[in-house]
Amino acid sequence: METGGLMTFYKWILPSCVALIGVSFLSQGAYMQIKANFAQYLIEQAWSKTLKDQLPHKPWSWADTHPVGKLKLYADKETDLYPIGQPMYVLAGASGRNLAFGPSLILSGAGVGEQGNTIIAGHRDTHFLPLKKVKKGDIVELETSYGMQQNYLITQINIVHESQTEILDMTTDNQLTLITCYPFEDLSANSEYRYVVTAKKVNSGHRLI
Amino acid sequence: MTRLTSYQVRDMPTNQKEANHHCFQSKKINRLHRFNSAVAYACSGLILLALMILNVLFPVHAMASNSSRVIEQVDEGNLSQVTQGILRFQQNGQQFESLPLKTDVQMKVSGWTNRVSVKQTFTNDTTEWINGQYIFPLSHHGAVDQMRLIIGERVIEGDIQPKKQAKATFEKAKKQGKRASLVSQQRTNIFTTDIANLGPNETLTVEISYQEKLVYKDGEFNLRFPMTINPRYAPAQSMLSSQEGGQSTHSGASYLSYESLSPVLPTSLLSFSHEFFNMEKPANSDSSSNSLMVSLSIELDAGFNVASIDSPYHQVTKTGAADKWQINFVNQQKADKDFVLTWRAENIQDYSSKPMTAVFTQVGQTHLPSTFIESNGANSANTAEVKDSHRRNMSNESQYGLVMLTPPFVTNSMGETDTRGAETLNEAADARLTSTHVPRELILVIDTSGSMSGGSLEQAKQAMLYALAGLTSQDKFNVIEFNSSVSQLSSTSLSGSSSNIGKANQFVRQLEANGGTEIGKALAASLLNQTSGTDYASGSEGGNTSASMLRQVIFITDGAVSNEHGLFQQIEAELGDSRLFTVGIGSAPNSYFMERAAMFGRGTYTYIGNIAEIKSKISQLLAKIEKPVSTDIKITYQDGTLPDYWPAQIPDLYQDEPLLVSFKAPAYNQQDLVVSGYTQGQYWQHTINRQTPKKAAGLDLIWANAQINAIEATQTRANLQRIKSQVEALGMKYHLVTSQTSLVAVDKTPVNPMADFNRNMQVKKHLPAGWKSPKGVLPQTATSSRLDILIGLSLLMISLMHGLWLKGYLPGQRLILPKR
Repeated sequence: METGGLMTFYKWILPSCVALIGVSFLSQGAYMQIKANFAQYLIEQAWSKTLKDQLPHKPWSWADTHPVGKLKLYADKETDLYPIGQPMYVLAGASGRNLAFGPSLILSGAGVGEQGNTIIAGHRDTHFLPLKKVKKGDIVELETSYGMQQNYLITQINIVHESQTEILDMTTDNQLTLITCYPFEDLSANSEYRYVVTAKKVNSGHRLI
Repeated sequence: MTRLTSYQVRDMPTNQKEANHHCFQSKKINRLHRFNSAVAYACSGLILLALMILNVLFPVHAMASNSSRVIEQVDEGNLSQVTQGILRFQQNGQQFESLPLKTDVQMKVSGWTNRVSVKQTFTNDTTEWINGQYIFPLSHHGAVDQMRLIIGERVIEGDIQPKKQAKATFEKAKKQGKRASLVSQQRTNIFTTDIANLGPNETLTVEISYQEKLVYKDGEFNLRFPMTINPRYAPAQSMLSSQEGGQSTHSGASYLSYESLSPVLPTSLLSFSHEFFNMEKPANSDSSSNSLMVSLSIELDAGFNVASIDSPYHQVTKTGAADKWQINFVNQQKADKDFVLTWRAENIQDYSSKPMTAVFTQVGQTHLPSTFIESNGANSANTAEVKDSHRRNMSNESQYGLVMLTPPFVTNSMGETDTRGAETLNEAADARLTSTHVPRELILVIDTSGSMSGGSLEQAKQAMLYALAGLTSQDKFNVIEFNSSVSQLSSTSLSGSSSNIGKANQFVRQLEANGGTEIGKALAASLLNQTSGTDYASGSEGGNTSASMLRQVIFITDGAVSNEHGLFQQIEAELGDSRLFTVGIGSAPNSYFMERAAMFGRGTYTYIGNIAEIKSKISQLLAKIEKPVSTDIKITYQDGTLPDYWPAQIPDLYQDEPLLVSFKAPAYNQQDLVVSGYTQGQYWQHTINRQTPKKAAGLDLIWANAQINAIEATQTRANLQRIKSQVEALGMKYHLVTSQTSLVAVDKTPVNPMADFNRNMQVKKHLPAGWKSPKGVLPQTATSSRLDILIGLSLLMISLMHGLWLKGYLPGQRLILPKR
């Protein structure tokens, strides 16, 4: 039965190969998710340093970016505000690499806390997944490097085509634009549509969190 | 094989009834079993894979409908329902429509000049009266002197008027319901055609003619016709300079903002907007109905035997022989990339050894101020006759001319004249290696703004990598990238060691396009740093080496800016000992900006249109800028007086790049011209004989245009009014469209009684070919992490099931066939 033994050996090759490919896919996907979550802890440390001295700090030594702000989402429930998701640290420059680590500030817009249109993009499957839950009237809190907390009231939620870059245009008032891909349930890495949350700055005395 | 599966159980009775009685046949069964299981496995695998692929390809898009707060802004149905030439776009509740337009270009090249007529045919497919507008690019060498409004058989000649007056004339005609057209200038290379009162289903043609001089470079003539415009970036006037400060970021403190005096561009040009750009879906791109199509034909009279004619970016047909050729577009072409035609002489030595003596002249003006009959070069014999008679009357008319300046040949150590441009890449590269290598400080500046995304950035990166590869250890270099902010490879220039070059390569490869085009900051970073940079170098290496080093800044960009004038001033003020070489990248770079910037930067401009050219063009550039330059060039008459020539400040002459200077000489002065200059500190001069000039037409237009360009470049806030009126006077006198004068044509009879209700339409442009703007501009904000996890889990599941099946642990197997 040595042929039979060989046969039994051979027939296990196929499932184990499939299992291997499966594991590689799984780990690749999991790596992206873990990276997205774990990086936030490192960025948090860099951010706390930045809050102390207002200087840019790299979250890890080989990074080419630095945190420029901290973003929190709050749902407006009748009388009180409830946080949605974890606080997020915003990185400078919306390159594909930065976006893997955290929501990123598009540099052609205004800086965090500056006058104008501050634009932050994030991945729909990691950091900006909670955007699915926000609605008009909710609050976005943005912390600047001086530790100032600015509150933005969500006034508009639009779905735009990726070519509609007018949402990146400068505004005269203080606006915060959050961009992520749409629809949220889509699995692929490419999407034609963007989910755009527009929030206007409210007086910091208006609603203190 | 002790176990049987359900497959066999089912198969056996039908196929092989007595099989299990014989050992021989049981082997057969084994084989069958294996075959069956493989098929079954493959089938199930395929089904699962197909399901997964389907899931990915057709994701659930129905989510939008259940939430009422979501507004669908892009109506896909509308986009795909383009039937006729009109493109509809819905944006913020407003409808924008594109006016169909056909452009027909005819060129007549004779020697060094080119007469171009551009026929823009507007068609109104709607049932309403409309007014239209078309913003289009033209060659920045071009002097637009003629416009005709063609309605059916009738031709209405355009009138030159001061800009405001022309606008008023046009608006009045529009109100009165008369057909009218207006051609005005937005920038030296951007023009606007406005038309009024185009009736339903009517067609109207605006013919614009201009004169341009050709570019001769590296042994070949070069003709460029721009087709579309890069969206321009307008930097904020107040340099708040949001400090996204990494250590490498150039601090905004040392950067002076130079005020741009150029008028503001229409906002639609400053960003990608549906109003202006034709953002067609790839699916529609092959249908010619909604595209802006161009047909083109060229009559080429080179004046010498042409060896090769080349159109690198468009398909053309060439017929002809010797020095007369006819070149046509194969089909109508989409207007999304610049047209370039190059040709070279059969015997290079024959032509390029002589051109030092080349001088072209013309007597009198093309457009006579006193008569209404316009002559169009050699177009009609009738007008030529009139002009001749006129000329006889006024024998004391001025002479207009073009004189070509060629740097004197420098013989190098090998005792032969320098490589001529005709040589191939390899030879040029060889020459680069063998010629005595002058150590230099090479500053590579790359534009990584949003407008560069797509093919442009790839080209630029390749060019950078190629330039880096050519550095030697004696050289110093630095790499600067800029978009909204500037970042440098290192704060001071590095030596060209292989580890440094490796670092630079890495730096270049990771560049991504994002943000604005703050050329000013980049210029400051590349030009202002030189003192500190060289100080540092001399401190560490000891003096002399760095002092003699050539400091060359290679600036790779598409020049998509709108504050050109301010930047020119900045270059002039900050240049110091550096030389600025601009390299234009992409399908439609702003060559006006780049050519002038190179002129102010005392360098040269190179245009690279596709990836294949990068190697040859960059190596040519690097070889060229290594060679000695002729400086302080002056043109005088024999008696030492200065002729009226433009540009008044003659730029430095580089090898293989002769320069054309326009001059005007009064009739009484028939003296020869003397050209002088310095090459490697040695004075040289030669006399240009003006008695046997070659004849050419339209030189007065070129002269006036050169003068306008030159004086506009010197404008400051103080002399603005003076320059404006000077330009206006020149424009009026020479019948040119300038920043202060426009051509307007008005039909006599009103045709539209209800002119106030016209719809306004605009001709949309194509985005330059190779742009990825729709994707490049809004960042891609999704990863495939969840898809990967899903695929991974599915595959694991499959393999697990298969394993269980092989073991016979699946529920069905155990029930049907217990272990034997």
